[in-house]
Amino acid sequence: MTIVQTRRDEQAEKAIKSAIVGVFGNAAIENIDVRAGEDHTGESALFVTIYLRAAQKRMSGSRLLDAIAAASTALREIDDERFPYVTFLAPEDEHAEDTRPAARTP
Amino acid sequence: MWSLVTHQLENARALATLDKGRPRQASLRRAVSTAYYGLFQALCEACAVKLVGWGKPWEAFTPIFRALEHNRVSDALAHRSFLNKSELQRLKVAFNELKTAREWADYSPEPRPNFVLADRDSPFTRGEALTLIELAEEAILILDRLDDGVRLELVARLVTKSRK
Repeated sequence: MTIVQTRRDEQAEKAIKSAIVGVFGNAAIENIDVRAGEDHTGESALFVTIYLRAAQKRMSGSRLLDAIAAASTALREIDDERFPYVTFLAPEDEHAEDTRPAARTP
Repeated sequence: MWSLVTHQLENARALATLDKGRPRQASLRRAVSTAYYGLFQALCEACAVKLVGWGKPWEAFTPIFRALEHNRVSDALAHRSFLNKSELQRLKVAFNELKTAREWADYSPEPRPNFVLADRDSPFTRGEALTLIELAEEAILILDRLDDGVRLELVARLVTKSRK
């Protein structure tokens, strides 16, 4: 069961990476991370983080849509119905503050 | 685009760019949630306008506007009859991405949705928030550009329960 699941994840990762590179090209991307998990509804999903090589003003909404649509189509073509949630990260992104209070020892 | 929706997107951008320096999570979370609601309300308005019309009494308009439910919108957009309609496929993936981001923004104490425990410590970024706002705008423009026949089919699916 675990082996089947792993193989399915590997196929999904390969399909997603190929689709994303097809949209953006290799030059712009440093790395693509694909992880299997569950979304907030408990549905199986794939979480895709695309690390961009260069700092940029920001990724446009239409390019994000292109990426999700391409990944989604690639998954459908291998009969994988999981939804690919896509996030872009780039150098020099303005990261939000961490809201966790500092850990305190009892 | 309905002015309420336009203003939701404007408010979302204002929130995402409010903080100078390192942005507060609260600002970015509200920005993402507001952008999602811009899209959701655009879908509600599309249904009410197509099936009732702005000129009709609120007693007829509001129940259709309020008929949509978040999860049912996802189900409706995933209907098999929409599989060969590329604009609805794009609307579907945009809606799903934003719905999950909004769920995180409103309810989860954890870092970003899809958080990857990587070497870059990142609860969330301003860029991600602005991209999601643009994604909402893109989805609303897709909705606005649908031809009459596709729009009618879509709103019928959105306001009714599907028999599986």
